[in-house]
Amino acid sequence: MYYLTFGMAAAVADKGCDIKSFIVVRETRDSIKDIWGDRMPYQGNWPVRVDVKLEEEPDKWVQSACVLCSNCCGMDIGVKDGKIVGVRGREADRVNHGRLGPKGLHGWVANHKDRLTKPLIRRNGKLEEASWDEAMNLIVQKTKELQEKYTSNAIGFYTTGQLFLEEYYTLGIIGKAGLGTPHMDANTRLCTATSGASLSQSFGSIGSPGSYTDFDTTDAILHVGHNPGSQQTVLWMRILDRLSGPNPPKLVVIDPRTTFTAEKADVHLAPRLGTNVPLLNGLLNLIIWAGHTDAAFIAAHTTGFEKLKATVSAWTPERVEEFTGVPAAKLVAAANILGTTPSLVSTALQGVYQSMQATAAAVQLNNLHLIRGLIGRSGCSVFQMNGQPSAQNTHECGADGEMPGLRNWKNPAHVEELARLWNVDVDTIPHWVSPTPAMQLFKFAQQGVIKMLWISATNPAVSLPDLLRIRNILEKENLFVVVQDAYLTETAKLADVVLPAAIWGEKTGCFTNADRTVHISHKAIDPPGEAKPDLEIFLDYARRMDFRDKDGAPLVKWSTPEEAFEAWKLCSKGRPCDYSGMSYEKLTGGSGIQWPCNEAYPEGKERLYTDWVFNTAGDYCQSYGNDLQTGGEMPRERYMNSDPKGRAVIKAADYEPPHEQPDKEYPLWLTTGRLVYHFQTRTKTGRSQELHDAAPEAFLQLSEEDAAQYKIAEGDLVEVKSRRGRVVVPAQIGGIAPGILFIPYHYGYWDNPERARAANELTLTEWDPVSKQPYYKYAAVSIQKADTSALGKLVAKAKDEIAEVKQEAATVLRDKLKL
Amino acid sequence: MHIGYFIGLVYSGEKELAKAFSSVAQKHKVEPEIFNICQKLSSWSEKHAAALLQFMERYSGKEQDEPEELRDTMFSMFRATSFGLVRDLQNLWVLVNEVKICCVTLLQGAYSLRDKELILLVKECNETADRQLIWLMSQIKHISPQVLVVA
Repeated sequence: MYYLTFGMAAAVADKGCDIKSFIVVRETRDSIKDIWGDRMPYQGNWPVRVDVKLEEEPDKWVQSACVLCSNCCGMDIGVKDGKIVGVRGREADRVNHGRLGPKGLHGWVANHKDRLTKPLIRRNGKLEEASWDEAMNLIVQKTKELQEKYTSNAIGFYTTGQLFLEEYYTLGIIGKAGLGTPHMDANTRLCTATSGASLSQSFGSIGSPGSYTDFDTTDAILHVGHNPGSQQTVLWMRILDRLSGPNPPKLVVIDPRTTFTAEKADVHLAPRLGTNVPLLNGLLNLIIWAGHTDAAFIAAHTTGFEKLKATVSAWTPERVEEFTGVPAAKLVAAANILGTTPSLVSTALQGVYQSMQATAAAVQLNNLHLIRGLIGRSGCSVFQMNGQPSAQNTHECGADGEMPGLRNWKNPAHVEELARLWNVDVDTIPHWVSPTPAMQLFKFAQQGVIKMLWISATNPAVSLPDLLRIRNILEKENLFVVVQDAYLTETAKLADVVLPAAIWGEKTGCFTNADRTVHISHKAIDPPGEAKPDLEIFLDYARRMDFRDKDGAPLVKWSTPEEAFEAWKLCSKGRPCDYSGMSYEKLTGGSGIQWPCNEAYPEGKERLYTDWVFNTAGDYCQSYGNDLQTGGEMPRERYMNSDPKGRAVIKAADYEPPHEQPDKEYPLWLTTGRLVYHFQTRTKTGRSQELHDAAPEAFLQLSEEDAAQYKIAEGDLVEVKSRRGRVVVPAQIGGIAPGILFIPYHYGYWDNPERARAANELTLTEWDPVSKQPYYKYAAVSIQKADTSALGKLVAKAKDEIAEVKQEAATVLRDKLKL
Repeated sequence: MHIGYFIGLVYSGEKELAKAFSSVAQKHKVEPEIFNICQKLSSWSEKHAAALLQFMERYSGKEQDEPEELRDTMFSMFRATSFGLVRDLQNLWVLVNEVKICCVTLLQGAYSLRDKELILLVKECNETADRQLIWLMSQIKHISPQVLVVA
């Protein structure tokens, strides 16, 4: 075997040798051992480094982008004999300049493992193979029965942040103008909802104000509850290269754990769980108190500053220390950096979005930029990050219940615009009620008032909180569950109908990352067996349902991804997320392109709000905002009476304590999160041997102090209990404050049904009142060393039963084990 | 002068409202959002009642029976179902509006007396009532389609 870098290969090629005849370029770096690769210190433009991983030399390269985090690195898929044999980063791409992270370099092997190849229908309690006709006809028959008896309100859709925008837009029109159901949401509710909510509260609509290029020039970076070292490794490479360059930015990190990211910080603040608001209020207070605000900017471009000033004034460093545990001196050090830096890029992710007062806290980060006037120019941006590669599109295209094109449910003119575009009666579109968020969707299903749930490309049986409850809902007799997926996931096993779907690499479509960069991903290979692209499945359903417009023509007027993209361009035109200047041709060949892309900005617009006019005008804004404490939706009249007309809205929030606090019975805090080597519930990354081996098992991270107190040694199996359930996982000691425990949420049961290990067995059914994002970041738990002998007996018994009932019975078995 | 009577009306109104929100929270405990927010809104009204006490003294205010009678009438019949929830939220809406109109009335008196402290507090009670109403409206609109056509 030869291991050569591309540079070496190029050198050989220069000498006129035929590389293929004696060299197989396998891997430019070992991304498992060295996650981020070599440093390339820089000032100005971020240098190119092309990361490659190949099993064999490909016959052809097909343009795509990575779908294993929200960074969406430009990537080419290597194809040989109709199979994917590797990937390489696209050096021309603005997002990654050729680099790829460990998930991107290894995750593609999942395309060729354990795939669903035929539709399945549950008959006599068992999933059996069926034809597409049988499966689709059954779904259509069920839809019509329910519509007849209960209206379309009995039907709900739960989709994902991992399809393509063409698929979301098609699903959006089917749900809203075909069926007319308000019950559409996605797993983006679990990862990105607060990003959208906080951006629209402050700026009037979603979309990151800045660009990744702001990391190239900024003087300071603030990460709040965001660990790019693990979650967005390629973005972290950019930051590491800046940090090792001639003019490194200052780095402030807020995270209760000592993460890869926190290790590099100039100032690391480690607050107690659930105390983001007091901490951020404390920082804002110090900055205002020291006079580091931009008074002219505040006066000309914002509203609400006085209320903020009054609210945060109570949060002195001493009081912040009392509530958050962050030493006052450290808070002052962080405030000095954030208050005096001439430019600043801030980011937030799940440590904010999945924690107490999610939207209220995220909004304070926006406020930091607003009171200092650090927005709309180079090196200045707040990134309310996304959690998945196409979460942005789920929201933009209306597949999560929002109105397509960032339109406002409560604005009659916006709804009429859509009705005209789709040529349907305005009251076909359910505009009288706010879209049903995911947790409510499952609540309605539990209550029996949603009777059909169509789940696409997501795995709620592992990813939603309080799993015992979720399994019980999915198994309910009177809930018809359709699961559209590429694998027989934990959720698919509970379905009534399973539709085999094509995935990335097997279909064409576009998606948009966290800095508004749109990429095209071309079809590289055929899907396995009878698996179909999600777009084709939705279109097939629309045809069989015979959805029509006002003039009797088919409602969905497209049949290919490119036609769907053209339809989406029309829908987005004139809105903040304007795609009208893009085309498949334009997106193919070079770099991804940022929205808005239109006549004014044919190559896309790098930064929003460069004129400091925000999208808050009453007739343009995406939302009239919410009460941050209750989530109550601001009525239209009220908003119009004090129309901010383009000013950014500063909203204050005071601290509210978490509802579940550690007590005698459950004395410790649990938080959950991700690992660098896995994505979501590992349906893809768990199928790469390298990624699996790098992080094969769930674990409980605990401090040395707690380990000593509970007499737990490294590797011991520990039983963790909450009011909802229990798991048994091995201990990993260190890197976390006493009293706080951490379990990664990736691990479910498809590859190991023998032991309860999904973190969400423990988490609670509760969510942020504004964004409706569930709280995964705190739950009160107890721990004790597991009685392995008793466990051993249970496991042995379980194994016997598994042999009898095989994979299908895994859920039943877990219930028997009372997990 | 009936200022004491109206302070008593707002005071008793807020107290009964706190009780009503709290009992709806308990009754619909399986609905996490209802449970949490109703408790929060209950605590807001409770806080107002406590703050009004000093004005009860200042103006010889008397607790009034009407708000309790109203609460008793409105919350006697519905069970912990989704149907019951819609009806309970509707009844809370009525109760908050009763407090709100009493606040509006009292505020006229407070202005006439130039009692700045009272003005500030009653204004706050009034604004809080608006926030309670906005939340109730959002929830009622959200839940009712399912209850009316599917349940």
